[in-house]
Amino acid sequence: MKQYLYIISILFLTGFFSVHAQQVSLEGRVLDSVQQPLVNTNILAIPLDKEQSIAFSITNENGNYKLNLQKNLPYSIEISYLGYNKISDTLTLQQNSTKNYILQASNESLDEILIRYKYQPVTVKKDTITYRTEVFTTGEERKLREVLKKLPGVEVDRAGNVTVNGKKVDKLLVENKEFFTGDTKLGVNNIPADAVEEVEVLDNYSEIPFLKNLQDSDKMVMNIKLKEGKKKFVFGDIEAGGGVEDRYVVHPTLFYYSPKTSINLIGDANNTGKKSFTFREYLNFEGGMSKLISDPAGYFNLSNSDFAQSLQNQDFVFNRNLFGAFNIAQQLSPKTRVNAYTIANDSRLETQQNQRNTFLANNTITNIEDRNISNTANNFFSLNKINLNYTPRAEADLTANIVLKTSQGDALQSLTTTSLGEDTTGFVSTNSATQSLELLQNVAFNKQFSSKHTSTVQADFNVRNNNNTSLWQFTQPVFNPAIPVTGEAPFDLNQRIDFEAYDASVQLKHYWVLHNFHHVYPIAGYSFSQQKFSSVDAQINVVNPPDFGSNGFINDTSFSLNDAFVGFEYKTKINDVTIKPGVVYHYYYWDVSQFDTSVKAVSKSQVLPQLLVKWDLKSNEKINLKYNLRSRFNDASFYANRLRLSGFNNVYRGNEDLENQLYHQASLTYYRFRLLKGLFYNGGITYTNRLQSIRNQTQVEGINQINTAIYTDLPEEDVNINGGVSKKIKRVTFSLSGNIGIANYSRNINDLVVDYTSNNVSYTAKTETSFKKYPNVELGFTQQFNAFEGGSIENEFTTITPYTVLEYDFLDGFIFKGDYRFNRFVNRAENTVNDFQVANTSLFYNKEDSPWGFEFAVDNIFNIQFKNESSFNEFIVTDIQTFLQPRTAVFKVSYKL
Amino acid sequence: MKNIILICLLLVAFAVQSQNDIFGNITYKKILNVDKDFDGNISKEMLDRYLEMKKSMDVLTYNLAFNTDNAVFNINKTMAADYQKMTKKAISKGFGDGIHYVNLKDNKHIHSKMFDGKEYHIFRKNKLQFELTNEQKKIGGYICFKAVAQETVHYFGSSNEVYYTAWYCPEIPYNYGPALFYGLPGLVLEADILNTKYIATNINIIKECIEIQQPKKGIEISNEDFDILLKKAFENKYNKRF
Repeated sequence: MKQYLYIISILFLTGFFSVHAQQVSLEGRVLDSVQQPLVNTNILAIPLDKEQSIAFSITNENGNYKLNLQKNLPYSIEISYLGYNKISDTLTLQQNSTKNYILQASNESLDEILIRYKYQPVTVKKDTITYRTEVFTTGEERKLREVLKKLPGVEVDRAGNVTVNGKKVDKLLVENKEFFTGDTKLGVNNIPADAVEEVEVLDNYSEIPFLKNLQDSDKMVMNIKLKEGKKKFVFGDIEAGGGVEDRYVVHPTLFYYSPKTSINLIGDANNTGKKSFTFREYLNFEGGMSKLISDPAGYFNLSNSDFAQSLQNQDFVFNRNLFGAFNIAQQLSPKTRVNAYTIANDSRLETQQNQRNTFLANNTITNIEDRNISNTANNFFSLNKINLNYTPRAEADLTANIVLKTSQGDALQSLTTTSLGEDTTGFVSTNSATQSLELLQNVAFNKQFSSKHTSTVQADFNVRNNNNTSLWQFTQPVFNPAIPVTGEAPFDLNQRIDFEAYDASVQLKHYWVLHNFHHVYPIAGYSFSQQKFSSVDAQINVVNPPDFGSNGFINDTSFSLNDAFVGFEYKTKINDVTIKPGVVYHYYYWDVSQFDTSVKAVSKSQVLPQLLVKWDLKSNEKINLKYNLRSRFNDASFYANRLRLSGFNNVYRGNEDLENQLYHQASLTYYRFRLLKGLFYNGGITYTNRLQSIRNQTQVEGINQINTAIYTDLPEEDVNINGGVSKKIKRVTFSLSGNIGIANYSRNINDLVVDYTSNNVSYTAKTETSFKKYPNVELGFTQQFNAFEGGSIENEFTTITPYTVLEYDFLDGFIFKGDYRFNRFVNRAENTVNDFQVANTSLFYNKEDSPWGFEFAVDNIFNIQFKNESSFNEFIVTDIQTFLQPRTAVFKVSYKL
Repeated sequence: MKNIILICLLLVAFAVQSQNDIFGNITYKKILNVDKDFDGNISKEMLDRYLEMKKSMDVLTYNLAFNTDNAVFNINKTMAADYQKMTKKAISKGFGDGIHYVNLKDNKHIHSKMFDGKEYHIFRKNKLQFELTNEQKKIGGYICFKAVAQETVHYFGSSNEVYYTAWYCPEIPYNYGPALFYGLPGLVLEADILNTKYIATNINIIKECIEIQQPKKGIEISNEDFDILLKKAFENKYNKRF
């Protein structure tokens, strides 16, 4: 304890003040009236010139103190100790001096002492340092960071990272609660200075107050106490900019804080194609990183959701977004919390592609087609969620979620197709409109009955609705004779597709601990899905429209699926090996009807075994093996057994005879690390073997295809092997990772079964630095080999991508960022080479503590217009030229509220 | 909740007379030491974390085996149920991971544990200095006295006080206890360290010989140096981008 205080004073003196020149020291003792040393007395030297820093010391066990002061500067010395009269003294030092102070016991009543005590500028108690900030501030500070910088022993860097006595603050709390996501930077750079009453630094902190002092929590936390009457505040920033060719960006971010409610508003309007709402921010809406660490499966689902995928950039010629997001978290009671958000976006996306499609069948090139596609899509979507979390008792908790997703949009596609052999050109324009609604409700309840029995119940209810209309305009007759078009060109085909589904499920899982090493987890549940799918194709704008219905078109399909299941898992541990086999028995009953007439009603049972083996070879070396037999049903659209148009050159027919897809899936992963050497290894192999699949049987004629869904046991297997190693040497990390994928499968094309093999091998070697002050560089090299073989097709591609990313903070306020990527695409079969290179750069300037920031960013520096790539499937090899957004240059100004 | 202590004092008299031949097996349970009712005092996030930890810790038990000169203290091997997500953390709270080995003759204590793939033997340069107090309470019908110790743990640039509280029972005159607790004038029936509490639930003083195995070979390291290793390891872990 005493040692601790001594160390603190030393740190304050040496670390904080050593930068000042012309220093002299003042030392001495603090004693009481009977000459006994007073331990832990605060001595504060406040310069009369407010521009200068305050010096501070705490007496050690002998009552000794030492202050380092500036020469010739008048100071007011204040010494306070609980239960003693405060001493004030004024002095100016010329040289190192010694001075003892004697404190007189106070006669004041306890109340008064307490009040005085409260006004002590710094108190040190065990592992908590409390600063009363008004003693150190001038009142001109705008944000918390400027306040913190004035506190002795506290340092703040440009980004907002805080260190106290050289140790980093890991977490920022406001009024003992996590501030938004707990990220220090958000709070430090934004909390208004005039709301701050006290700053508390808690060392060796644990999230749970009564878990404080736990051995493994070497964490330091800063807690901000707010002034009475200033417990609610608003902050945020706004970024606005413009650039050549009418580019604009407006990006406001607003936060509201009060002890029980926090609100976050994010807006973004731009036509630069940049998405300023990141996956990270989406994660924060969902409850932040900390929640997801305990639930990795939830994280995985989130990152694979449609919305998260849409946050990734795709290639476009033009993209405009009007985006708004709103998040509110409300603590209703200590046991109940509500979190709700709304995200909405209105976008316009323009893409353009040129394709050369080489059609192959039965070892010959049947057709070569040039296709130009341009697409303009307008879309509006909203994603709304309410989450309620209630913990009535320590042994039980309840969560309920409601998610509503809506989307509506329209798209116009213009397509020109020229078949070289036949020398015919066709023009197709497609107008489509989509509207969809999804309502998902989920309730989960956990209850612990005893240490041997715990149960969870989960219930879901979902409604999905999707309507899609398309209008195709063809300049040539299509699909003769499958499509019964009549009249003269242009031919207008209209299609409407409606899908709706109601799903309900309930699942019960019980955890039964029979014995330390024998657990049984029984599981039972029931799920029901009722789905309707309809498609209507018709020719319009013609005098005598043909009857599509009598030509095998038009669907009105209902599909209902019942799945009752019961099973268990058994878990045991033998030495370091945990083994968990399990089996679930499913009883399926489904029926399919077309135009209200039942065409199929089937019941089927399916036994699904599973196995999990975890072997902890050492504390730093693990092997996991996982095996499942999996079963999946497809939705009603696959059961619609009549024709429908699925593209300008594509007709699709479902099949009422489809059953559940069934496949074996096994994976083996290995993980090893040496933390002290900064060395990490990992490797894995995944194997999938399909027993029963739903696949298309394809008839290709010219560029036209007719696909029919079939339930097939054609062989299909996949092997995927990956591995990586990384090594950190000081602040440089080297890593090497690789991946090998082998797929063997068969398809039925033009009534022939053809076997295919697809192999791809890739590796990435990279180096990255994580210096604090120097420019940080990431240098990498990726090479990828693809080989595809089967039937008439044999193709080999290689992609080589060297890249670099640079970030450099310089001249106290400038940040330079740049990235460059070179891409070489080699088609080894045809011996063609395509190169393209992309580079982006930005320069940001913000004078420290100034609310203003300036940024100049140039994207696509080389102004490349398109990139070339190839792709292939079982009967088409496609060379693709994708057009990109031309160079953009934007200047932005940001202001912090 | 009452702690039931079963004591088979089969040979206590014998054991007391003939100091050479004492053998014992003590079972301890481990709980989070919650000293206040947390209703209304903490945020929902913290409450959730606490409940997660409690679920995992409630089922853990430890065994102390000793003879006249030596003792080992370690966790009874267990398997986490699928709903228990913090078992690893729950075990390591309060120095509860690995094996504690005590040799009274040499006044030697080591905490032996696996870290980063290697076996470490962690010793303290400065032994814990217990201060015996007059405070007493009954545990399972036995009068126990309180002893306290404190230790300053240095981290980089700051230091922390760690407090140790032991309730030892002079009526059971064996100088052992859970984790770092030994050398007190009586068996430690309850120990409080870093807000984790070890409570004896079963005391077995027996006749048959218990052989105490010396821990396997390991790297000898002081607790201060081990903390430096931990810090380095975590820096390497968290600076890595995934």
